[in-house]
Amino acid sequence: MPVKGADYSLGNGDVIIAAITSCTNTSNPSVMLAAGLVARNARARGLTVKPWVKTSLAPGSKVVTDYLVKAGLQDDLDALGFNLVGYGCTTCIGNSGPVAEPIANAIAEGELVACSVLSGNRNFEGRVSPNAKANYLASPPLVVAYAIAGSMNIDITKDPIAQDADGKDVYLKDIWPTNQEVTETVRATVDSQMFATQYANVFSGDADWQNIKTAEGQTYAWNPASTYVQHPPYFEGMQKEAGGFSDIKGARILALLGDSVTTDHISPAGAIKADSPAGEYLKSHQVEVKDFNSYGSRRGNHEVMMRGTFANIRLRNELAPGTEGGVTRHMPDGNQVWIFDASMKYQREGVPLVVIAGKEYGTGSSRDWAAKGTRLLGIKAVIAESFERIHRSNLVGMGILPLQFPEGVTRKTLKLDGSEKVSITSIANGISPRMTIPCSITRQDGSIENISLLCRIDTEDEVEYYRHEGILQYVLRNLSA
Amino acid sequence: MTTTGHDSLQTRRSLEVGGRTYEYYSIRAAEEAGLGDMSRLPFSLKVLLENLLRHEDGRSVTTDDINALAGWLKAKKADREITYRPARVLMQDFTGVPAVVDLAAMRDAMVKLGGDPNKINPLAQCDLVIDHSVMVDKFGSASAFRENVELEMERNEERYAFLRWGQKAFNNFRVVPPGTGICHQVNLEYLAQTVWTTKDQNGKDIAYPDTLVGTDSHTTMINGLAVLGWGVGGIEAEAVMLGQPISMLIPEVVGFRLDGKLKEGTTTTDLVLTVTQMLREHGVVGKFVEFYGPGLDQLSLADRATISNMAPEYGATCGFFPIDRETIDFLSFTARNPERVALVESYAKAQGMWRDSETPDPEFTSTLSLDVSTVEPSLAGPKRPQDRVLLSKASSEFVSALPSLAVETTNWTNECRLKALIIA
Repeated sequence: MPVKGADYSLGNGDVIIAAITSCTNTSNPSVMLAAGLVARNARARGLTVKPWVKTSLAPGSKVVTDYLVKAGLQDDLDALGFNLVGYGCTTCIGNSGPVAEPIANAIAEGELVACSVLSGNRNFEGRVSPNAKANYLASPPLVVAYAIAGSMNIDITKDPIAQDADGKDVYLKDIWPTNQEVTETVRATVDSQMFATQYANVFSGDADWQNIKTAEGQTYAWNPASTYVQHPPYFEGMQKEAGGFSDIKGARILALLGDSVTTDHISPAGAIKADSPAGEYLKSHQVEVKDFNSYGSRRGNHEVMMRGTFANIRLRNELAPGTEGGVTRHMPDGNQVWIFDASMKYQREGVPLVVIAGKEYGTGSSRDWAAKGTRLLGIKAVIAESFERIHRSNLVGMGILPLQFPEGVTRKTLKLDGSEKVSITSIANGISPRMTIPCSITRQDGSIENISLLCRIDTEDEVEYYRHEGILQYVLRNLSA
Repeated sequence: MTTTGHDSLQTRRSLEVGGRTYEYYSIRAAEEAGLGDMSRLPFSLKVLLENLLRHEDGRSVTTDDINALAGWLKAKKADREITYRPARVLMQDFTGVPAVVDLAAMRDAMVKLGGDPNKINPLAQCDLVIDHSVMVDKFGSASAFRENVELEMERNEERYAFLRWGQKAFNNFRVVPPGTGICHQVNLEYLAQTVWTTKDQNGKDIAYPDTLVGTDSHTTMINGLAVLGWGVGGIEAEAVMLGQPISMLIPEVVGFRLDGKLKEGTTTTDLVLTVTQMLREHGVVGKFVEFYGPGLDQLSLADRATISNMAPEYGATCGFFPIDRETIDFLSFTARNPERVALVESYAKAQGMWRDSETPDPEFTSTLSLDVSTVEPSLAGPKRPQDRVLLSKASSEFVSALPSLAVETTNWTNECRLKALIIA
């Protein structure tokens, strides 16, 4: 594929990103200096990197720069385009930044499989860059070598990786340092004083950091206009003493879910859709769609996060059959609405809520907002066939009651459809770990079915967290006493 | 401050190092008190054992828990949930912001309850390194660094102003500003101490293994420095911050024996990609991995950190290296306080946590081994970190993978990229 405005074309296997990145390797002087030595040897032969390669060097500490400079190797890396771009997580977490537009266009038009080579630890599809479909993890010296070769189609152990100024073939072995050379360079350049100096004032930051205008004081002066950081309402109306336990009476089912609902289904992840409740919130706060940023970056704003809870586009709520995404039916009217909107309406009506699910509820990586969002939606209990360990404990930590169906009882055997009201009684008298708790289900026709649930508050400490309506409240009251 | 427990087994002892006296919870004393010989317990489990001894209060940690952990040696597993209290918390900015938001809200709530907001602070040492917000917008020029920093500051002003307030307002809470480094490398080179010290409720200096949880999955890198640690979700991290324990299952421990040294032309990166592939095949999800064998004497601390870093890729909770001469040398070389370095050595030797070439191998749930000299130059890809490809076959394997890669399997959207970011 020709690249607009350039004298080269691109094909499958061309390397468009070569990144020395990630703490995995930038913490290791032997591989970093080896990369520098490869650059030096390549430079001595007059080699350059291919023009379609986006090169970068992002070490995990300033000590790296100190020893690369002392060894004189930063100059060689600069000559090949591996200039310092920052100290932090970059290509490895997808912060690789855009590739040049003509290159991106050529890849898209030609439907090319372009490559990245990075010294990182992860390379899942779509993680590194939208333009690179094949992503290879490699040592820093190999990252430099592939930037010079510019393609995965070359067998760099046998084929020449480039030609020097005289047109002579240069092979990888010609520019690869010996292990002894690397060891000697490490010994000669990395010294103790670099660590002492770079970390002496590590918390002070540069002038940019120190010039950030910020509030003083013991409590934070929340900026009501911020769409990134907002005061969360967990402690509204909180009393000095914990109340007792209270029964959950006449609860509606906000969502009726299947097996293996992950924290990813429960908690917002990824981009914020413009027509979703979170998107509507941001638009109403004058945030343009292009500036939405991700749910991740807005984790400091509960208004965004609670609107995203159960809003995963792949969530299947059995109360709204045939739909995907955060949709439910508000009862008793049966109107199909966003889960967030239904929750708000129920909360205005003073109706408590429960979620009912299948096996392995809350599986996947632990995510704080999976439990926090559940709480802010007014959900008092989650009733499931089984729970993933960490999410169960997070629910208790947020003051939500996890309850488990007995063997053989499921949402299906109970023929639940969302028209029911659920009451969980006899907890007002107190809770003990793993006790049996009666639950009555009142159907639309007035008939009542009674079942027993297993209380998945598993320890005495958790009973205390629950009694205080959450771990934060528990700690707060202990400290205020 | 650490709140110590009842110590029913009476294991508290004192240790004098450089004219200072530290109290500690002795595994040897626990052996004598009836636990039996713990010398062959994996080093990583000795760290958990000490944690239980120090916090045994008859409630969140009981002597039954301690006995269950000691009993691990019988079946090389123990199906029991224990509560564990890491010494500190490490956060990055993506996951750290909501934790600080909660602390700030707790201060407001304290005022409303008529209390003193200054009482709300992290109880465990908490460090937040701002490392997740820099993007490679500019590259390949001398001004790239400066320009990227400026863009980062512009984009993240609201969050940074908030964190800067937190940096001033809270005790036990430190913020490493943007443009400094990556949290795991800063931890390795500066924050981690291998042995932590703090006062207990009676004002005595207590020494214990440095341990942590982090809100980033690659927190595991610090196990290379014999600091037990892994990534957790925000609520567990907040709980630890606020002095509450986290619950965990006593894990199985897979022993990974290393022999020999890297041959000419190979790097530590080649080694870690090989280790990752082997451990993925072995199956180590939910387990600890602990490295042992004569090959450890050939590995620099940085090499160990590289191997520990990729624990999430091989699927383990952590990949632990015990304390030995190399640990001590690295702590000295990176300009840690000499008194602390001396304490690390004395403490490790007193606790049976010191490894040298004479140390008998610990007992493990299962083992595997690698002769490091057989490692070949490698890459891993094109889609998964455990899919190692020999460098000599990289081009041919790319060509054969091409048809499957070319298939438009997913309509790549911005969502994927952002999602990838969140699970970082």
